[in-house]
Amino acid sequence: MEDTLKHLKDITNKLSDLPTLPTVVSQITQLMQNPRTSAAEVGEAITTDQSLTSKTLKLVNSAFYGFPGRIKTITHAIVILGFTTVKNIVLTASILNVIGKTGKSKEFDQEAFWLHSVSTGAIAKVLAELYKHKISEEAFIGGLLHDLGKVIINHCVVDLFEEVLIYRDKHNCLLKDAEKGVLKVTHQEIGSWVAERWKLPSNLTAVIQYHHNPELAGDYKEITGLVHLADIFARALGSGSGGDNSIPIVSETIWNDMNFNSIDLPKFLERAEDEITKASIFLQAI
Amino acid sequence: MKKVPVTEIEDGMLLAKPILGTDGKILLAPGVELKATMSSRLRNWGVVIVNILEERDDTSEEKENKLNKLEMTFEQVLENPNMKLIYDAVKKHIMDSE
Repeated sequence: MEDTLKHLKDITNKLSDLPTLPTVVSQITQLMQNPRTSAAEVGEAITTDQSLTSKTLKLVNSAFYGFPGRIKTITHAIVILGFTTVKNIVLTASILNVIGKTGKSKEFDQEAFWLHSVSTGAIAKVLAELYKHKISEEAFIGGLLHDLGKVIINHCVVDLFEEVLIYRDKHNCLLKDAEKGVLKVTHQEIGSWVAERWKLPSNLTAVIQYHHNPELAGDYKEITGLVHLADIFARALGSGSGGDNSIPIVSETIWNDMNFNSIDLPKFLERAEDEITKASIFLQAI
Repeated sequence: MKKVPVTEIEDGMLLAKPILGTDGKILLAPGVELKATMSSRLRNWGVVIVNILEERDDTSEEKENKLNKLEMTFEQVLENPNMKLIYDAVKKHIMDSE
């Protein structure tokens, strides 16, 4: 454990050009924790940031949310779509704003990466609805951002990232094992370190940290389990690529906890593919 | 058949499944030729994705590619019963797709 912390420190010391999130993001997260906060207050906070406002409005007006071109102000968006949705849109828009959709390494297919991410989000959303968990919005964003660590490695220490890719090909292993081999830490650990620094909501941080071993996610086992399963199904359906040619084994604890054997798989896969097509609109709009 | 987001409709695409209104009535029937300019009207109807007819040859080749990729992805994990279950379901899903 101590070793991991030391290795993590070695890497994070090198993240000198780690972008910072706009302060409005932590302001909003805080405002949302207060049940008495009004739509107008949140709207006011968001509109202090011009570029974030226009990006948020572009997203809420995309076909993904089904109100094309009709929402003119942030307050209006909150009234129609609700607090949680708008908060998640702002969060996603600002993270993608600072890290960008393009990575630095030419050896890594960034388009396939984001397709994998958005597909994981879409499937996690379907699973949440299937299990009647009222966290389908959170599950979508969790899936979309679960591999934040990979983006950071590709953005901030690109030479090391390319060593990881070479290691992966040489040993024919999963990216996370190649990371362990080269960096001594994985994208889960680096991602959650950044998530904490950025003060992202704790359920999102848990998803980023534990999506490969969701049984360790404590209070956030439910959402992390959904994203864990969604990640595996996105790979199985061949929708994009997170950088692996193979697939990790599904957690038996989560499988049993969710009683996944009882799921109507053909129907689930059909719904998952529909939702992935829909979510690709989200990706274009962002 | 393939699924296409309304934002990506191109001239000449043929509808594979009907587009239904909220009341269940058919707004556009299968076989109708779409135009790129119809995109905004469809969006106003609340349509997000449309099912488009594909030429037969493309479909079988695409299926084969998908099955090969699936095979490769699962190569090292098929001894795990749960992974085998996922593999079988996705394989059937690909084979049954139109």
